[in-house]
Amino acid sequence: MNQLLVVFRKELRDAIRDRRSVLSALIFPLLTPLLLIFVFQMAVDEMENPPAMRVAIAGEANAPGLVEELLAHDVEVEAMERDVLADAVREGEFPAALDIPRSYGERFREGFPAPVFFYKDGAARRHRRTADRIERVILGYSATVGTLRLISKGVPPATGQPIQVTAVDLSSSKARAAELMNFIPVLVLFACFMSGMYVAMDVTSGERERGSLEPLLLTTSDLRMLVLGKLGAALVFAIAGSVLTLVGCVFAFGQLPQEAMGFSGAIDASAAWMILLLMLPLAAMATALQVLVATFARTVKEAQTYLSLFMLLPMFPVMFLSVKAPALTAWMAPVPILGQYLLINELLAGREVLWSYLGLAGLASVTVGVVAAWATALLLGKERVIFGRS
Amino acid sequence: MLRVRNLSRSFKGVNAVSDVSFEARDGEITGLLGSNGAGKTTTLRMICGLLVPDRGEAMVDEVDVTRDKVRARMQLGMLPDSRGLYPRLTGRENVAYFGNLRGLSQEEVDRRLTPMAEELSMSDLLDRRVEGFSQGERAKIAIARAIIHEPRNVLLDEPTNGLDVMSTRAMRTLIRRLRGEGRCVVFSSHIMQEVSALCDVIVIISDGEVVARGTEEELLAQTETNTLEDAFVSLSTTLEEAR
Repeated sequence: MNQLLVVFRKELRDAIRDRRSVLSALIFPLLTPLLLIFVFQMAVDEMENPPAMRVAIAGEANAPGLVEELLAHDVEVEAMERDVLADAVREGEFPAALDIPRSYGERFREGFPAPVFFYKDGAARRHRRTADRIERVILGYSATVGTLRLISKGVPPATGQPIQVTAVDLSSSKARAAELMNFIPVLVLFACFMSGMYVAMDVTSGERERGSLEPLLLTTSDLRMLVLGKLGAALVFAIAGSVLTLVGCVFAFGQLPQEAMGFSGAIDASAAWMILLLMLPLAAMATALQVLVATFARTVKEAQTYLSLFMLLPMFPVMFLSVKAPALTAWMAPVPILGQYLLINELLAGREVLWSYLGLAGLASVTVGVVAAWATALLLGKERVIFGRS
Repeated sequence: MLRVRNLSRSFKGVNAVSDVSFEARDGEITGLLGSNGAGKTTTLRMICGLLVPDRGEAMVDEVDVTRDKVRARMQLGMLPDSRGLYPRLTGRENVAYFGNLRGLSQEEVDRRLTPMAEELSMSDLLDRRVEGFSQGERAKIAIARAIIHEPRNVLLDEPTNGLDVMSTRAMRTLIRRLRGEGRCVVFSSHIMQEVSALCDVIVIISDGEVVARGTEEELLAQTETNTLEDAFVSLSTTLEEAR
């Protein structure tokens, strides 16, 4: 027990003096709020100052009424030759283009559908919404004229509108916020795996690389104490990094301009505490596994190779889950990473989470961690690890 | 007091050490002399219980190392072949880490370290970080770390390797002091002058086997030679011919 504390204190002091270890624990917490606030700012900007609706138009003289309507809706209209219209959109110069053929005027006057060609580039992300807005102006004009025509003929205008669709968005503002909050579980899970990684490598493969493992093992016979002390130091970094990341997320979402976004991003305290409760065992598992994997490596560089492959472990499920997350069921809760990811999402969406699920998730991760630590202690006593220096 | 009996160990079918037996008494310096790869380091590693012997036994003050590693190591200090220190810790912190692991308090470590640092002329190194230390400076910290718990038995694996003249002399003084205190010192070397200058008893190891054992005079008389080097060469080749 005493040896555990000695090892823990020494490794912690050693790690704090290591710029690389400290930096890798701080990189997520430092970057997270900045990144989030930047993303929010962009979203708010687009909502408050939508980009100008500009449309290239050919044959505008054929439809003075339509052009007037466009201008009335703040659409900027720019006359252009017919044969370059498509290119103007394709090259992204205009979000959309409008081609009004000569026949428009005549057909419009006679009450037949008057043809217009509307060009837009469905794959151009930055113009898609603007083009849709312009298109809606045109459709709106069409609908207004249609209504007026029915009235002038003495037909009730409702005749032309057999169905009235009213879309009601049932997602609570919390759930909509959760969509943005998809960032949080990803960031937090990564922080669990990233923050203690360098310390985990330094206390194991670093010891082998420096040639300090052999003299160290002569001072102690209880390798479990040695492993637990080392694991503890790495865990301090892992926990510090992931807790700070969580705090950064909560802070950034608190900064979210509610009136602009139409919902509040504030994460309530009890949810934040429960997320913390989910993270701690996961961080312990991640660190214990990293310590185990890094013990196989003769040098820190070699450990880095193994562990960057090991990082795919959280990366794959998280990437898959952020595209298509299954509904949480009992068997998923204790699956490390999957359970934490889904439970954090539930909490962020403001839904109730069963304590038994939190307990299962924690217990499973801690079990994996304990097995990994035990395996590390066995491994450290092996001759090929003690003397296997490159 | 160390007693090694029929110690044998092979790696992947190749015998590294076979049937090595010797005794190292308290108050004496015993030298393990052998060329590179003769099996000196493997022997020392088995004595301190880092390697498990295939056969034979090593006793430290009547404690069988393979049976009770913990108790055997309490009275054993070893400067191993790898002297890795922790570069981000100071010299004192490096020594204190091992001292604390051995159950010594910080005050006790400091109390023991001060005279030792004086003796090895490294007082100015104690509170500097180890990164940037020369090889000799590292070796001094490493030896202090190995014997901070003041063990009755000290194993030194090529302790003067890579040291300059002044550091070598300081190391020799320390080794003689340990003998003067009645400790049992075993050190391995391939340098004849070193062994000749320091050792009371010499154990010559060649190809993993003990080929001769005795004081320098006895070895010279046995081989009818004038220098330890000649004796060593003679003994090693005798073994070759015997095969």
